[in-house]
Amino acid sequence: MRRKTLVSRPITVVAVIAIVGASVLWPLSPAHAGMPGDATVVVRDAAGAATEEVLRLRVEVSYKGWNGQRDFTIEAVEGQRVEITFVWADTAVPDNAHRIRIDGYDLRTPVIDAENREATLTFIADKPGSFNLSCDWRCEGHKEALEQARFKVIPASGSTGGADGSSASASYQPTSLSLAIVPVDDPSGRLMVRAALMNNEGEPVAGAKVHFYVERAFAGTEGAMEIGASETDESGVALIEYMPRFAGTHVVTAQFPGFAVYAPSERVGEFSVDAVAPAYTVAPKGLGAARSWTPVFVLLIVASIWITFGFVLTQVYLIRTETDRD
Amino acid sequence: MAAAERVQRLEEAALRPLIHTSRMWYVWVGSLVITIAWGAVGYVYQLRNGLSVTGLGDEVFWGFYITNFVFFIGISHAGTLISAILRVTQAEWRRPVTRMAEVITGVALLIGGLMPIIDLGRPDRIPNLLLHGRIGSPIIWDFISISTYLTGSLIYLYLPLIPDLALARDRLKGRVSRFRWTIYRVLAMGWRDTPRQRRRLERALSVMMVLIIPIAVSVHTVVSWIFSMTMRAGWDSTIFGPYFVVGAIFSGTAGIITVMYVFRRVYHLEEYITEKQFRYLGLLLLALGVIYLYFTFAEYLTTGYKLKEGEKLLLEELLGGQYALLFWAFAIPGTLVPVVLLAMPWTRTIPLIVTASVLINIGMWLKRFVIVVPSLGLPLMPYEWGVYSPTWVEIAITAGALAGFALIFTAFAKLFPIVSVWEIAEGWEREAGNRVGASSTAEVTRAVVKGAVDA
Repeated sequence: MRRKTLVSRPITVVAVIAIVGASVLWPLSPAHAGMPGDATVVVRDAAGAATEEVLRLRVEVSYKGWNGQRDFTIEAVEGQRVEITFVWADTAVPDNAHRIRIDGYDLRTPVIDAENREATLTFIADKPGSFNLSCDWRCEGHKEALEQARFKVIPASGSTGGADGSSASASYQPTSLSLAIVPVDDPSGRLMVRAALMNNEGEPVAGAKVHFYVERAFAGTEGAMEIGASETDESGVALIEYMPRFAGTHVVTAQFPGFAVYAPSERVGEFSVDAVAPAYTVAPKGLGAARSWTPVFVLLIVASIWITFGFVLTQVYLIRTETDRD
Repeated sequence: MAAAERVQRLEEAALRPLIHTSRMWYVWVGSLVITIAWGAVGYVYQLRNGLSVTGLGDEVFWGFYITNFVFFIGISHAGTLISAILRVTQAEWRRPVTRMAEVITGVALLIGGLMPIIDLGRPDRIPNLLLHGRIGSPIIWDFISISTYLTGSLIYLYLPLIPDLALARDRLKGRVSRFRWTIYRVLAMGWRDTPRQRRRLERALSVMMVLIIPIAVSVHTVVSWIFSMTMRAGWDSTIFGPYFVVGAIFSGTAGIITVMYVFRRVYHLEEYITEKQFRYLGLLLLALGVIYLYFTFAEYLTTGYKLKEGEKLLLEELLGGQYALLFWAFAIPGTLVPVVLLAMPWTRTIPLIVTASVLINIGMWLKRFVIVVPSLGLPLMPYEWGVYSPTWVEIAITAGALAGFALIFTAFAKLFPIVSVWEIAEGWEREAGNRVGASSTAEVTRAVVKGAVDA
């Protein structure tokens, strides 16, 4: 009978497979991203230059901080495409919710909580500098833990250690706006100005701010007057109400200034208004009849006084004619 | 014939100033002209440089000019009271003073009416009042009422002047310049004192003496509404209408007493303007003074009791702050002391009555200032009180206005009889008619007047 060695035992094989598998899979696990101690996350090559066009990160957000740290910095290179997924990790405090904001880029995630655990910000890091990364939701108790993060964008020409100065340069996704102006279904004369923002694949762009302008002349100056701004909803539609203040042709421009990975776009439209409602109405004062008739009454009295003066002066004139008669 | 001599003496006394001019008259007129010229220089300076040369500003935007406006409009009520009310009530003692009172009214309105124009700064904008005025504006009401009152007062001055103009036409031919005589002739309207003419004159006078009273009441009520139709502390008062009317009649009566005294002394009219006129007007002044003190007390008591936020500050400044001197100068020597002087029979003498009248006029000017300026100085937001300090321009224009008032009065007395000869004679003949009894009043009048004319 052949004697079994350690290597030939089944348990040994299973253990080896488990160890090897863990060694391979464990670095790739979600929990590994941003381990305590890794407060700065950047993907660079040995020369210090960013090696990827896209910076992809997963960041756990909890009452303890960012990946459990209060001091937390994300570094990107100017022009790099950034995709940061914020993951709600407040399992110890299930009622907590967060909304992550990057100042300077005007970016904000939807609220993440126990039910909606992830939200991703995708954008081009086109502005160099250091920007505040924080939670701006009403989360008392851990507000300070989520106030001290930074998002740094290194200028493309100043890439640290980059021998050739290479930098990632992601391109913006083209967008297009469509514009529709329809009257509101009431006698007020208001109009609904509707702009739909789509990317070049025909998909709606949500959370983008669209500004609306109307061409106007005022006091010798002509230009575009902003009449409102609105964020696009899930279907990429931004709406404002507009009350025309002048009759005639209105030239309306909807403008998207660019946001995240999307390039700016604009659309011009026209509509005509025949007549406009008055800009304001004055509430009627009380005693309407008295107010209306009192001036007439007073003027009648004044007129009767002057007529009496005329009668008196006639008497004076007649004094003279009495002389002639006599 | 004694009656005829009396009338003749009256005519001579009334017409003498029209013929004779003393050296003092020239000195007096010269000083008035110089003062008016100073005022005119001030006004031209203001026109060229704008209202910034005055003490007016964006906070205290009314000062001397509007105070003068209210003061002169107030003085103008003298004529209405003496001439119209006493005529309506057939008070015989009014006859010697009606002409002076009517002249005060007309002249005060003319001078007072200039003040808002001077205050406006841009007189070329006056047409805007007519072209763009709103009937709901108290300033439009002011314009309508003052222009109506001025017209009515001038008519009311002219009507009883007609017989005296005829007297001047008949008695001064060859004794005055042809131009002046022609004016007398034209303005006399062919008066011959026929029954038909007299009826027309009496009818016209009856209408005017009744009509002018409510017009006069409305004028100063409307002037008060310039202030009380606002919500400013110190102005927002419901009794401003009657308060101002009483104040106007009060200051107007004091004005007529002062003028009466001056003309009595200068033109030696002691026989016609007797102690009776001073005493009766003094009593009237006393009654009006008491009523005015009552209104003043009521106004400040209600304000002081409630002490609404702005009014509290205002009252503090009036009674013990920066305006205290002016306020108490009005209250005590300007009103209370004259009332006491007039109340005591042993102080109700001509000199003291005149003294009281002068004090009242000064006090009432101070009162108008205390009404106008402090309410504007009171801050409407939490910052400093507005400051008003009149400049030489305002002082010069005020002096010029007062001198203008005196000059027009002097000129009138030089051109026309300052006492109503026919009314005084009518009073005598009524008195004589009451005593004679048998003869008709008209016959007596004609005999008396005819005898005087022939003489």
